[in-house]
Amino acid sequence: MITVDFYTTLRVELKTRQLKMSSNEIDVLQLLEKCEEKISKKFLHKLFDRDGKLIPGTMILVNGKNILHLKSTKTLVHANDIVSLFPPGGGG
Amino acid sequence: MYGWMGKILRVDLTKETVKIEKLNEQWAKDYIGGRGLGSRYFVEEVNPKVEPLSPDNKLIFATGPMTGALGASTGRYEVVTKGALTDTIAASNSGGMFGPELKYSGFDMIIFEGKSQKPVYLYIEDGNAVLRDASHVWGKLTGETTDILMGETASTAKVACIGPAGENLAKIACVICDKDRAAGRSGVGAVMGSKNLKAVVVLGSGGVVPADAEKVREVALDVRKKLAEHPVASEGLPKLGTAILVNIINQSGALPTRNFQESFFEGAEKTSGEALYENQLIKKKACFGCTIACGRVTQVKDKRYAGFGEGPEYETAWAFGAQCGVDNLDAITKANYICNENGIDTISMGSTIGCAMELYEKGVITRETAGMDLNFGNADAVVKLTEMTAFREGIGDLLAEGSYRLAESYGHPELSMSVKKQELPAYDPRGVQGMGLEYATSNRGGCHVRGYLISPEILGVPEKLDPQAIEGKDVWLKIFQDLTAAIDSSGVCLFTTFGLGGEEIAAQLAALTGVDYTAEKILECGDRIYNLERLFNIKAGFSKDDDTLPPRLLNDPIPAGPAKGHVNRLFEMLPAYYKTRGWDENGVPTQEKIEDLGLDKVKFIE
Repeated sequence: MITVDFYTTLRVELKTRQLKMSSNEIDVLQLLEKCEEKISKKFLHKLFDRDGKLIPGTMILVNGKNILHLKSTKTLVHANDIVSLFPPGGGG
Repeated sequence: MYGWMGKILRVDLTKETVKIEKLNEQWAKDYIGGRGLGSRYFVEEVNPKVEPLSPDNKLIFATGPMTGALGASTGRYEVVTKGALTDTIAASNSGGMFGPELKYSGFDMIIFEGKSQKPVYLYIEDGNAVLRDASHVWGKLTGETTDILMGETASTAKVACIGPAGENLAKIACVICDKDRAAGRSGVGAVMGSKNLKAVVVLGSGGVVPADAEKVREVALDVRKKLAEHPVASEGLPKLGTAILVNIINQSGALPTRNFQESFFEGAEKTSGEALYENQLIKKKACFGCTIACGRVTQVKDKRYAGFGEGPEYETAWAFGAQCGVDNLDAITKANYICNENGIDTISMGSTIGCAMELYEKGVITRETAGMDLNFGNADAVVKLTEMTAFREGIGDLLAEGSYRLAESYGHPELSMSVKKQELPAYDPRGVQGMGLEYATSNRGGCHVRGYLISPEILGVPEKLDPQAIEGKDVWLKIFQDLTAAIDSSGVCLFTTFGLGGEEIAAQLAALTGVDYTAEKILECGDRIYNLERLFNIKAGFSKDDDTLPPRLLNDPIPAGPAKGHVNRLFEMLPAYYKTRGWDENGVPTQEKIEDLGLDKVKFIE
């Protein structure tokens, strides 16, 4: 199973904290589209702009590594991986 | 002058006199206001080697031209002095309503000098200032002090004051305004206490006069629109406050845990902004003129920690949380309330307790000395020790000195997670390389808001940098440090830069003041301010040897989590940083740099 954790405003708005997705190997974008189907709620617009690019400040981590330092939305995830979703956030 | 009020108030506490002086216009243009202009006055009047708690130190309350003006988040003011905690130049920034009211009362700045023989407070009403007896509020908490002083002045007056911690010269004491907003860092509250100055109360019916009212309105609407459209400024921060960062930084493997022994906290979820939203939040709260409203009005119902107030911010949720191994959000928030009521910096307090806990677990501090178990995770101890620190009771007397002096007194200064004796904030620089460089070179000691590289290194704003890369971090840091110095001097909140850049900050300043500020020019002002602070610190006795990090962060790899195996590579970044800043290999600004910035005109007291 792949674990998808929802954080910050995404968690509050979707009222969803975590999903367990069954898949052997899948890229990040496909995984998130499957998540939308599973919970029947749209949320990709909180992470991507109209052109499908990550909104600046969005963090998608695969096992703690930002996908921007991997293969972006083409990053492959596998069973037992943890994907963490953060819409743009900041503070200090 | 437009934007600036054109007047400063000089208060001699020894002679009990007040005097109005004309603001130096050229200095105002070159150093803007707040942190920069306050520092410009400070270095010309105070010997860098002054003992911070002596009458010879001065204490400056400084606003910026944007403070109280139409714009975005224009409620900031600064407390400038030589820090009791750090012995460096200090500039502590605060929001709230106090700063704008100070300007409306007629002044850009107040300079306090000397020491009063008895407790006093300063009351300013529309240009008239008087020192009044404060014996009746000495010893009282900040909330009660504020209520009493408003009661005997005006219900709309604004109060900045110290609590018992400042009176007791705790080196981690802060200045609190509006009951819950803190000029938090470097021990500025202790300096105020050393002068027997309990409070500053301001009331004004004036306003900030703009150079071009129509342009000011146009620019203000533009920047407010940009903030309203930005997801951080319009969604993340208003919804979850700054504690939104707890899970973000933890999942990135950079949340310092148990005195920086680890960088991933298993209890982070329970102390997060999401948990605060679900369990404690009453409503959000904005400072003056702010459309973001990141402040949290909270209530704790658990009888053990019951209370009502503001907070915790991210740094506080971490300091009393992960840093102490505590996952009880009610206890964390209670400790925050105690800090606000007693006037204590939450970052230094929590980090100092974390340091004490490690000393205890290593057998250095005994149960007999502490008077209680001090193991990591002990929520009751965190609350109790915070109270004891304010009154210097028991081991609280040592905690009041901050973590470095605490650890040093036990022969283990290396266990203080501080730079220049100021406790580091909530980002492990082994997981975020640029932040290590920022901590080491911050002019007020360990601090995150002198050049917040978390924004590009973790959050990806304005663009994503690899947190483990070191190339180019010197250039990024210089830009961030210079821009931050300019913003701190303008009177605008740093948080607006999540949605705005240097152009928008400069546009607001230019429309208000009529001075031809551009993004390039305010960066030059920031560079000037940063070098001015650096020169003061060098004359105070600091050197490149002080531009360092605790040995743990340089030598001990992170044991687990996403940043496992990394140390901070400070000394690979430092030479490039010095060069980028125009400093020599010893970190001293070159004569060419000094002259380029006009700092050769500064007459330091030798």
